Amino acid sequence: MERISRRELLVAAGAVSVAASAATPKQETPSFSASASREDDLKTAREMMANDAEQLKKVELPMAAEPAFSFKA
Amino acid sequence: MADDDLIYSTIGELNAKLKRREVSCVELTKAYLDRLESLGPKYNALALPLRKSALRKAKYVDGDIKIERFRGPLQGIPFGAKDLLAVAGYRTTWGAKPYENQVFKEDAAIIRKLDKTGAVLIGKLAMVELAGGGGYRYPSASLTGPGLNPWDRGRWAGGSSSGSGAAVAAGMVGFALGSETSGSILTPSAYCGVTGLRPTYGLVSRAGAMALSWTMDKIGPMCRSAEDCAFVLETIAGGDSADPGTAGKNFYYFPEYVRDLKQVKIGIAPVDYDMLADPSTKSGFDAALSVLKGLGLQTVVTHLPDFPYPAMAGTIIKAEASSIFEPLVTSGKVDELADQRLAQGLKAGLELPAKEYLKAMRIRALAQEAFRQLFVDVDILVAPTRYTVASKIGDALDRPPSAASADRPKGMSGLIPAGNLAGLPALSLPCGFADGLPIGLQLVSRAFNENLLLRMGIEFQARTDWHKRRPPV
Repeated sequence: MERISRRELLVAAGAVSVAASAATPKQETPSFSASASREDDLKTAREMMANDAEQLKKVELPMAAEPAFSFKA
Repeated sequence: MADDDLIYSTIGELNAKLKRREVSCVELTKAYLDRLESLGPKYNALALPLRKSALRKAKYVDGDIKIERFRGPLQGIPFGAKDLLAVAGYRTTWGAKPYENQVFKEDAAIIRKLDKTGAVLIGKLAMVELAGGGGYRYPSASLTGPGLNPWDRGRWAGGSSSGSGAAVAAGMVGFALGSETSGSILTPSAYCGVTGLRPTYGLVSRAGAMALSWTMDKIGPMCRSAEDCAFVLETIAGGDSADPGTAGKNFYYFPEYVRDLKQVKIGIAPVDYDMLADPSTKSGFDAALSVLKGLGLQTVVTHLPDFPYPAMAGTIIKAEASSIFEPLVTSGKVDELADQRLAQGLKAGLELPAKEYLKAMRIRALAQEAFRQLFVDVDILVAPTRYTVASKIGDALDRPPSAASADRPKGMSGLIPAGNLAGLPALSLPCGFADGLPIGLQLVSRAFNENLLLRMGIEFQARTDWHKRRPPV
């Protein structure tokens, strides 16, 4: 089986849209509860947030860029 | 069971039959209810049947039709609503165990609008718990179990509007309402082979709907054709003082006033079809593009403005959803959710620093401006709705696809989160099959340009029959 680094896993997990996380799955899993403990899930969720923060950090923001206050282009 | 041709009729066809009194609203409602109650559990698509109230309403509609009091194309059409929309006096579970006995006193605003026009609500439809806020790992993240795909029960119906997609595909309802924060209408539409419309942010009131992200939530129709989506949108659109996010605009369906399609420019990224789409889908997408080009449209090669859309959407949704569901988290009831990744995601979201949310919102403003510039040169972006067919029901949804590699070209692969961050309307059209499962093409345009999207969809569907295919239920 192809080996995947933890970083690659986080990059990809962060790329999954929240409400429709329908990325191409390849791994069979027997049930949703078997593979990770709550602590593991919490840790993964925190790592995903940290990964998102890393990606946001790469964008150069001019001082004049205010937060979006209208939610359509 | 009723004749399949009747069940799979479009809204326009059904309404014509009702007005000619070839079928009564009571007969039609019973026919759909029978299917919904028998097939709904088979696909985990049904949250709550509403037989008694539906038949009462149907009888009333028949009375109106008898005296030729016609109220529009939705009059007498049985429909289903995603179980995040409140229906007074009945359970509204948001797909989640902690809310399984929740009952509201008032209907959601769009349920009221549909009721006024004579549409008949026959059931609440299943969904991913809390519409997936916090991120979920498996299709089984739902009070009603994993949404099963009518084309293959071993596959997922997509999320989070799983029941809405399956119910339209399997002819359990005349149309359905879904909601989208980042893909929840488009994904099940593509996976189930139905036509789904995500309206512009603020076009449809969300009053009475579960909130997941105040700045990204939208409600829209999932139907058997683009024209059906237009009929539903015309009814549910409009300003509402109960939803401060609404733009105060109505939608009038006037496809004839859309400019000549030969003047319309579509933007595509060839890499979507050559590299990113699963090989099994390529011939379907190629054929669909040929049909579009056959409409005489001008084609422009383009790409999305370069922003980290998934990280932006993830940060914003997590921050807003965790704030919304903070009482659920602090009460400890969050652990009753079916998917612990989702539960822990909501917990973690409460730790998100304000600066990260603000950064995502500042980048969002830049991305919105970039989209405004992009739509100076292009009228519609066209891309695969999803690059693959529906996943297997036991598959994890968070395993990295090969396309996620940072070195690979991105094409339009971020179009779902990007379009949602920019509040743009999108239409997903069934455009073929791969391995026996439906695939969909998404069209995205500038804000409030739904008429152009729908006109394109109608022209596409006049030349194809993918939207008319029926699963072997």
